[in-house]
Amino acid sequence: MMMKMNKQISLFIGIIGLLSFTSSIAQTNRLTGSPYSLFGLGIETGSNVGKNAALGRAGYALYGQDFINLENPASFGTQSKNRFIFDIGFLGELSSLENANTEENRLASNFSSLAFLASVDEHSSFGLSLSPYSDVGYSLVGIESNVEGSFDQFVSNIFGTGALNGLTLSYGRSFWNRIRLGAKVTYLFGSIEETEAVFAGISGLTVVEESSYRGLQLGLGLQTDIASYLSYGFTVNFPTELSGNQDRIVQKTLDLVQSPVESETDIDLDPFDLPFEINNGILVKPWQQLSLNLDYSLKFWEATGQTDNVGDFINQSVFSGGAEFIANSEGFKYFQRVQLRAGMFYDTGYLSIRGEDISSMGFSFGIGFPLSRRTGSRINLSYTNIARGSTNGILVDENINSVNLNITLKDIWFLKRKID
Amino acid sequence: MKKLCISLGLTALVVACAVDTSEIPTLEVGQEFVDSNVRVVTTDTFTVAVTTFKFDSIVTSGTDRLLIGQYPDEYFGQVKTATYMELAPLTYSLPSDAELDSVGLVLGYDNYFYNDTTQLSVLNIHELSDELRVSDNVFYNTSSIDFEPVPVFSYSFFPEPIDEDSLFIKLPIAFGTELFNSIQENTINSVDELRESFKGLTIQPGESDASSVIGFSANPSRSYLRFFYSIPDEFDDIEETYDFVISLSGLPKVFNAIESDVTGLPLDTLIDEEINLPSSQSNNRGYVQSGIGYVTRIQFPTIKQLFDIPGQGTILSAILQLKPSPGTYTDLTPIRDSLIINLIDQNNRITERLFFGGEPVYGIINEQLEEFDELIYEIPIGVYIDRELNETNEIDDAFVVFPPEFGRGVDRILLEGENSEDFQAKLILTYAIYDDENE
Repeated sequence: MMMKMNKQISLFIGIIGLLSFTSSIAQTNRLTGSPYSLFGLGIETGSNVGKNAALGRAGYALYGQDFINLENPASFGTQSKNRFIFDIGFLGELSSLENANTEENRLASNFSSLAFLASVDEHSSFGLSLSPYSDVGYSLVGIESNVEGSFDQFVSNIFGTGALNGLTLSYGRSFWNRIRLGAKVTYLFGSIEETEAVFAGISGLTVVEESSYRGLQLGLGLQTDIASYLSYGFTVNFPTELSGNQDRIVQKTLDLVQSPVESETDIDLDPFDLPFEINNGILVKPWQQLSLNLDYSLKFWEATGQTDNVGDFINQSVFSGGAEFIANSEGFKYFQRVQLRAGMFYDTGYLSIRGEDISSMGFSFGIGFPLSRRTGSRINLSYTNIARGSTNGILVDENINSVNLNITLKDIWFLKRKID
Repeated sequence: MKKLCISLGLTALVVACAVDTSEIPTLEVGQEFVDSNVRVVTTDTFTVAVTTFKFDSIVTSGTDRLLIGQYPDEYFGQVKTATYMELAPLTYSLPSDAELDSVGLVLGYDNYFYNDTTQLSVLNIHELSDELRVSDNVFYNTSSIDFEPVPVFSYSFFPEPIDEDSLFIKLPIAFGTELFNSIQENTINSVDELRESFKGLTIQPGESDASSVIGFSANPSRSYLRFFYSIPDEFDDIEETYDFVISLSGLPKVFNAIESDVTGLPLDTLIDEEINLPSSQSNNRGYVQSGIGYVTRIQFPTIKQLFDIPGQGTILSAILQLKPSPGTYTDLTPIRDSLIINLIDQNNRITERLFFGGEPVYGIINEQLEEFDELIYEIPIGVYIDRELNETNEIDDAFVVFPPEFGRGVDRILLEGENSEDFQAKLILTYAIYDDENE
């Protein structure tokens, strides 16, 4: 037992090292190509740990021994023995953007998340995860603006890249076999680089702003098994402020000669407020083979009192649902143990641009392939289609096809067989 | 343990293979609902202070152009130019039996003229009574050399600087006989010996001339003093020539004295280089005249008010528009299509040229406006304004505008000043504000 613990500890250290190494990569690479990521701190990420991606990107009541559910820390209280789960995810996204007269395809793909869970005792476990919180990746070319005081126009191109990542420590514990409580603390960090190149006649100005944000967010979770076929999940995430600072480099081309204008570091930015969130959902298992989740989440963006250059923040509601089917988890045939999933969601969005809410809607399919009979390790593959925005007026309609691949490796996989 | 290694190795592989396709898309999607974070403002409200001053002297030696003539100018008074030159032969030997037939001065037109060439002009050719000696290696428009009061010859003509190639002025043979004989007899064997008896010529315009200033070439192949002589032969005389030319090497051997009489005109007050005449005291105009040394001086006394615009910004372009006063330029007194820009210090001394993308700045006639019969010089002075805005110490510098070939002609330009009723000299600034919030 002692030996086992030591091994687990050394494993944790190794993984934490990896997490910190990958965090630097995770925050520089692009995971989105959406022009809407210009607003706020980017669009919410489409990546997920475990199987949530295929279940409509939610599942607050989901719990189980074989997977990590980051949506609700209470799920870490699932009863088990010597559990260790390691999860790694990738996201590939092909989006096609369309406005009233043009269409364009953009591709973004990357490693997206890392997470692990380890049990403390039979009733509780903790987990550490690194996953994107929001992504920024926009390229706006040929923005025409009026030169004040004349009838002339100037053109600018704006490019943004970056991401906010969350490093989350979760803990959950079960009480009286029916109730699980959990808490999490997330350290959000990341940077967004925006480059604007302005062309006015033969002159030009380039402004490169690198904004870094960081802050802590706390969340609490509850899961309760009302009946053997019905569970309820509830979480709150408390509002928080992300403090920001910015490095700015300004250059210009004046009379055909390039010259520096300014290079400032550590400019204080207004903090970015994350709203209070309430999430809840139910999990229904009418038969052993089928489980259904229905979720609703509400984020109080309006209460943050924030404004953005063009859009307004509005309260965001997300409705989602998902279903998972497995023929026989103990089956001898491989296909009997394959999990089939499907889900859908509707997200009102948190932005309103000129009176038009940027809502999105999506559906997903997924398959969970078991890696072996003895363990719960799986490869989860899911496909999600999201339609966001609108072609009304000047807005952009996005159609995003994303493929989420993640590998969930469960305890036995890491441990020596008792009989070698 | 083996599986642990595999899993960590897999993770490392995954991280290493992270794909990033952050190509810049070329299609234009999404920009309509976005505004630039940068504001660009254009303004032309800054004061342009237009003044005139006169350089005490400008270098006129080393030129390849002889400027001769006189005319009255409504704005610049009586303009008079005369040329001074030392002439010498290349060799000091003549055949002993050569006989001088005649002597004449050939002046090749170099196509330059200013004012009315249809009027009769006079060229008074005088012998210099003093040597063409320089004090600091150059001659100025204000230099002068003593000459014999009685001209060798006085020549009247109607200039044809474009249609004719050159002018031939036959001089009295008496002027050449002694020189010719001295060289033939080897009494004159060098320039020094030549100067004892012939120091050079000056060509002065007729005292009452009211015609034009004409440019002749100083090139030895175009202008020279020619001796025609013949050598008696058995059947027919052999005719030969012997030339005195302006030496183009060594110390300058030619210069133009250019002067004007501005009595009763606003320019009359400019007796010193450091005096600036505001355009408000000179008919709301700035004056420019080549040869004489009048230049228009430009300053922007209120430019630092640009910083009153809230936010942080920087200028992206600065164009100065100057309009030549309508009616002051004609076919006889044309203006150049470009202006040279030089920086000057507080004492009105030229310090450096202004550059635009590595090339000197010129004021160029705006062709778009020209189509509307509006002749306006545009001068890109972004670099200068940027420097003025960012200078830490208040320096009372300025820049001056004048036409090319400033020491080789008498071209004049009148420029509308800041209070002109026709067109106010103006500075058009394009200013980009990249930070609206912080001061």
